[in-house]
Amino acid sequence: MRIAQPATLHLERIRFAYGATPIVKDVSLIVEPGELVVIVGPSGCGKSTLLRLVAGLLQPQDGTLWIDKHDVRQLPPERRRVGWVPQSYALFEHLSVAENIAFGPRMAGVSSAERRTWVAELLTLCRISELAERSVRSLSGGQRQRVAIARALASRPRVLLLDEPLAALDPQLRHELRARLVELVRASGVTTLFVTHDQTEALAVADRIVVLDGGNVAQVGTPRQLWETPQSAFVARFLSAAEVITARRVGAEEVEIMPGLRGRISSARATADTIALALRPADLLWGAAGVPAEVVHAEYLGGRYQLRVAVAGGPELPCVAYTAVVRGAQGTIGVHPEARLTVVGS
Amino acid sequence: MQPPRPSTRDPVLAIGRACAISAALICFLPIPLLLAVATSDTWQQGPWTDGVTLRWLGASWATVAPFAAYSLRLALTTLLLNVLIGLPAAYALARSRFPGRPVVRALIGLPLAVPGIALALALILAYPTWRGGGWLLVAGHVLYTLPFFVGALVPALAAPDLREREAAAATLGADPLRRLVFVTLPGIRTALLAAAIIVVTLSLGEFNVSFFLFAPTAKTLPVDLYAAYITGRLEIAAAATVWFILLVIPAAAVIEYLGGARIGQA
Repeated sequence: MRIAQPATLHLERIRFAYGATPIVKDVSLIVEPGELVVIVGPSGCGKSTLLRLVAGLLQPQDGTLWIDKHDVRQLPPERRRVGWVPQSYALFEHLSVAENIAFGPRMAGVSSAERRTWVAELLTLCRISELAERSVRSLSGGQRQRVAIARALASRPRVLLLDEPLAALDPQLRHELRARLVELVRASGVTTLFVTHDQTEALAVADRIVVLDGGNVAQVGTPRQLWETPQSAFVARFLSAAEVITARRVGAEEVEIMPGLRGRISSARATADTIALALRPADLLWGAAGVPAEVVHAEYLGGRYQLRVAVAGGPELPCVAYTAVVRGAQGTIGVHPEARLTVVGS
Repeated sequence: MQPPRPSTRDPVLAIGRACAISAALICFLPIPLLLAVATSDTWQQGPWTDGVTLRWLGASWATVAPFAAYSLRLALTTLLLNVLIGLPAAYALARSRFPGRPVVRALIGLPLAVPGIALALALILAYPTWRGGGWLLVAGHVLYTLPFFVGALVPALAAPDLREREAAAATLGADPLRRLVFVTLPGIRTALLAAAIIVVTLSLGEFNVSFFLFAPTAKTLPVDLYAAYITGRLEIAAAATVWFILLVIPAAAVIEYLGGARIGQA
């Protein structure tokens, strides 16, 4: 079922400040029709504010905002046809599930017969038909989330804004509902901006990811692009908990992290002699031939250990081990033979 | 391990319990006493010496009824004016940071600190010609109740989750008026009901302001009760008081049911 006519969302040089505190500094972005773009960044980076600006709940001090080539800056939220699902879901507690979903169509003056059919379709799409007559007060977190999304979709929005839609759920539920949520958003065909602080979630669901850093766009790209070619140390650290270090180039595809510790990169990238590398735990292997190291911290992740190791005269590095390791253990680390190390910057 | 349970012989607990029970008894005792006086033929000869009589209750009803009706009308008028003045005021205080907001807030709360007599005298001095029609009495009651009404509504209107629901309603196509009707008012209905009952109860029982501001055509039940105690038979005054209590109890019970302790907090 196609719910919306997918629209293009175009933000250009959007700037917003609360009083003297700049929140969104300079954000430009084009979201293609039907695309699912995830905005990710640490708390306070301006991602929720950006959604409120698109919804019309806040007014940017500067910049332009188009939906399908229409400048919507002058439109109040009730005339923008932008669906907004806040982190709290903001359900109408005095109404039933069906009444919550019917709210938008009711405001649009849709006849009650049509409303009933439409609400029934959304209940089916969101797999909550059995909840129709329930009071929203009696729902679980996962059910509330689906009602909130159904309610937003019921207004046939041109753009859907999801603000941390999974944050309020139990960790066990989060993973399962994430898949269903993405499936639902794809089925509706709506252009979607999805905000999260969780980089794993961003990588898993996005067509493209926007990394925000202190109100600015740090990088935009597909999950693979961001993972493989981070343009800054911030993006590398934020998306993959990488350790960013400086390495010396010793060949077309070879770099030296420190004497005795060498690895391969893809040659197309780095041209300079000194390059920044994003080392991720899986890049370095405990027990491989390389340099001596001591385990500073060990976490068992099931099947493998994630370590932080100290190397004489070097920084602490992340590392992975497939044999039992305890803190304080002495051994060697080397670059994983399969690893292609990630170069930071262009 | 179980945490130690407070012993029933804990002296602090025992004293506290004794105080609470005595306080409740002292407050409650006058009511059966009042009933006894109102249903005895002649109280000076002891309770119910000639059996139970409903004569006084019947007789006092005839005199009390018009004042009770007036008090109810006054309470409802006061409530209406509270809604018309207090609801927008509470909305503005909860939502906007206009210049002078602390001053407005203080002004609305001021009657709480001013004794009723001072309030009444000030009104008489300021608007002497209004007294005859009873409008001064209405003004006095509105002034006296407004702080409670606004105080009960401001926290409900300022609640962040309510504002978030209003924002969601806006994105769903509701203009400001329909957000007010379909989201804001339903969202504060408990607080609104509680505030309304507080206003009605306060107005029904108010004496200080009413005593100074009443006019022959505009006299409240408490003022008439006072007159009954000063001039009439004790039994009739007691019977009138019984009627008064019956008028006020239902409202008080609803406040208690709604969690009156929380409602008073601003």
